[in-house]
Amino acid sequence: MRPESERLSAIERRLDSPERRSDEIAAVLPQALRRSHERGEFAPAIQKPLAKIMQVAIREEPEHFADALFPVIGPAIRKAVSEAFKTLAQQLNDAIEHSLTPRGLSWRFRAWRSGVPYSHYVMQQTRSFAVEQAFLIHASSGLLIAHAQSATQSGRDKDAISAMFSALQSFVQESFTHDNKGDLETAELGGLTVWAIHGPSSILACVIGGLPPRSLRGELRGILEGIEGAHGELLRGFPGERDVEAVVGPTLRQALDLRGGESVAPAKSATGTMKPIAIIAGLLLLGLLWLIGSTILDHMRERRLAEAFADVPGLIVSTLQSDDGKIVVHGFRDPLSAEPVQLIESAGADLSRVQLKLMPILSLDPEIVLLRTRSILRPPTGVSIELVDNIVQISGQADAAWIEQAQQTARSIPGLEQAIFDLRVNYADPPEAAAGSNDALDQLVAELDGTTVRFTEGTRFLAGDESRIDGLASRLSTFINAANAEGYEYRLRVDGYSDSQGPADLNARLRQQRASALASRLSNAISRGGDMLPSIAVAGSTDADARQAVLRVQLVRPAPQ
Amino acid sequence: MTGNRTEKVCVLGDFAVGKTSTVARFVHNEFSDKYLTTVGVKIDIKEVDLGAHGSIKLIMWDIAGTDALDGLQQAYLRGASAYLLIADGTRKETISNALNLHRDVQAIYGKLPFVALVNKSDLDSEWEVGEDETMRSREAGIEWLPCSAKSGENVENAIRSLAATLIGQ
Ligand SMILES: Nc1nc2c(ncn2[C@@H]2O[C@H](COP(=O)(O)OP(=O)(O)O)[C@@H](O)[C@H]2O)c(=O)[nH]1
Ligand SMILES: [Mg+2]
Repeated sequence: MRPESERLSAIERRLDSPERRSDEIAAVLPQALRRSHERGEFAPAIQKPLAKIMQVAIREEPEHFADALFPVIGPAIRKAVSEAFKTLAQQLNDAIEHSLTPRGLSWRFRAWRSGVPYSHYVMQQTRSFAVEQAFLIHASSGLLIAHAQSATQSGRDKDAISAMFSALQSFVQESFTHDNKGDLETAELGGLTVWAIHGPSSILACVIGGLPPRSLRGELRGILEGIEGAHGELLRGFPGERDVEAVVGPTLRQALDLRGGESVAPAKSATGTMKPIAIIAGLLLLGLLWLIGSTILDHMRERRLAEAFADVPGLIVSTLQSDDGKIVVHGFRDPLSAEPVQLIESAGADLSRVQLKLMPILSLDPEIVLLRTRSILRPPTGVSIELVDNIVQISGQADAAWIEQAQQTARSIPGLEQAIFDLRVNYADPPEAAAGSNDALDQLVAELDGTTVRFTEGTRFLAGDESRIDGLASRLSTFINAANAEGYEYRLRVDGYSDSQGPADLNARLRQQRASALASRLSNAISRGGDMLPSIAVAGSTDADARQAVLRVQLVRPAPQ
Repeated sequence: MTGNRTEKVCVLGDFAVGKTSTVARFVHNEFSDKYLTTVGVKIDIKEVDLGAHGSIKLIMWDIAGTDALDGLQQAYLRGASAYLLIADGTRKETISNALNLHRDVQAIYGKLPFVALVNKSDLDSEWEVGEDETMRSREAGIEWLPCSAKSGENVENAIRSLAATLIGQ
């Protein structure tokens, strides 16, 4: 019996010593907790005390929790705020939409009658919606787990709808997302609005009539989380042996209780009008395009006008700018230069939209100098005043008095620093009147006189021009023969020119050499043809800045008998 | 839970072997010669009543066919309990293509019950599938059942045997 009593006292000691007891319990506690958890007893048992502990702890040491929760709370708040904004945006969208419809007008009237601000009335009305059907769809197979519907709906084809929805989900994921992670959250099919919430093992898809507010998503998510939380096991094992519909049905039916507004609008037509936000965006875009377009048009008009005004002799445009739909042109203009009105019209611009602010000037542009010379000298018929290599040339026949006067006046014409006078005295009774004019000879003179042959830097003919010299010689010989036959006197001269580069004495020599080069070439060619050697005078000329020689042919009419 | 089961069944096979026609035959019991290019997937529902063994609702996913599974087709196959493998007796190559599909499905989703059909048995004169092909299939564990979506031969039988397998599981 001794050992018996010894064991008893040993047990007593063990029970009496809290240290030893706690050691022993500590050894088995983890396993006990695991067991209890496996039996599903632990979590319910610990839940309440744990909540209590947390409450106390948060009350006593709030700052620890604030620190711990900080990374979680930030995103949560942001999410809530953005959700609130989305809701507001949707309501605004609805409000705008309804202000454009007949219904919106009738609402406006009713709001006015009941003294409620229109915006409030719209908010109230647009919150009218109803969840008409709720599908709980098995996420992987697309099989329908449970279905709930309002009494008025018929539940035909719900299995097919469920499968089709999950097929669509797969299609969207495969076709439109990078990582197959995007979920199909809303669908508008055949006049139905379908909103889907995705859980780990199931999808809650709801057919909604009316205009659901965004906040409905949160409520639907709550329902799905309730179902997944309470019956996750059952859903993961679907289709199992138990009738899952009977289990989750009541929770699912809660979705049908989510409704808003006074009257429930019928399901929104999918073929409805464009979203007003889209219309407004469209209008803004149009406005922007118009702005850009008209700016570009302005710019193009300015450009066209500037081009029309550019390089007009005697016209200098200093600025050209659009101002309040008008184009204002500032600048200077010689009264002899081209008529601005015509320039504007030829540019296709609207005359009334162009405002000219041009100051008068005297232009030294050769073309204007030419016009000025003409307008001052007023040449009689038989005298032509033209520009030859930018130099005014006065040629033809006139009576002696006019020629003298012209040569005097010319000196005081602004811009007319040098001019070539090539005038013959006009006799009172022109010989050709008696002898008859000789059109053939005149034509030959016109053809040959002024023929230009160009040179290289030295005294060699430019290759292309040299080849024309023989042809020129044969025409000249034709002229000489004709003039001799008709009894006309003629004068031949070749003027040699040089450019202004290089030393002046060298250029003077070049002018002479070029003149004689062409003259001798022509006379050689003519004499080889059997005709007598014609006498061709040579002269250096500084009328033009060019490496060339010019043939001068003049017919001297015989004096009257 | 007998009497109210629902299962997803996919229909697989090369293009134009007669998948859509076979399902249509079996769902509405009618046949249209009009060629229908299936776009993506077509879903039909068939309740099979096996008397004392209960009944089962088959959600048939007719998947647009090629000889290899692309990502979308794989997604369509997700969660299927069984499949119909269909080939065309007038085109030899559709047999080996069906074998490839069968291997792919097994590799991704494991062994699932299936029925293999060689369709268009009404086209005797154009028949191409011989002993060679069926032998090679037998080695892979596939027994081809000749059928015709046009005449209806074996279509109903094949589906009922698949339904029985699913209920028996
Ligand atoms: N003669 C005959 N033609 C068939 C049969 N089954 C399908 N077809 C034809 O084969 C073509 C392809 O059929 P379809 O069902 O669209 O093939 P799927 O691409 O596999 O869905 C169509 O022209 C059908 O009319 C059959 O059993 N006999
Ligand atoms: Mg097809």
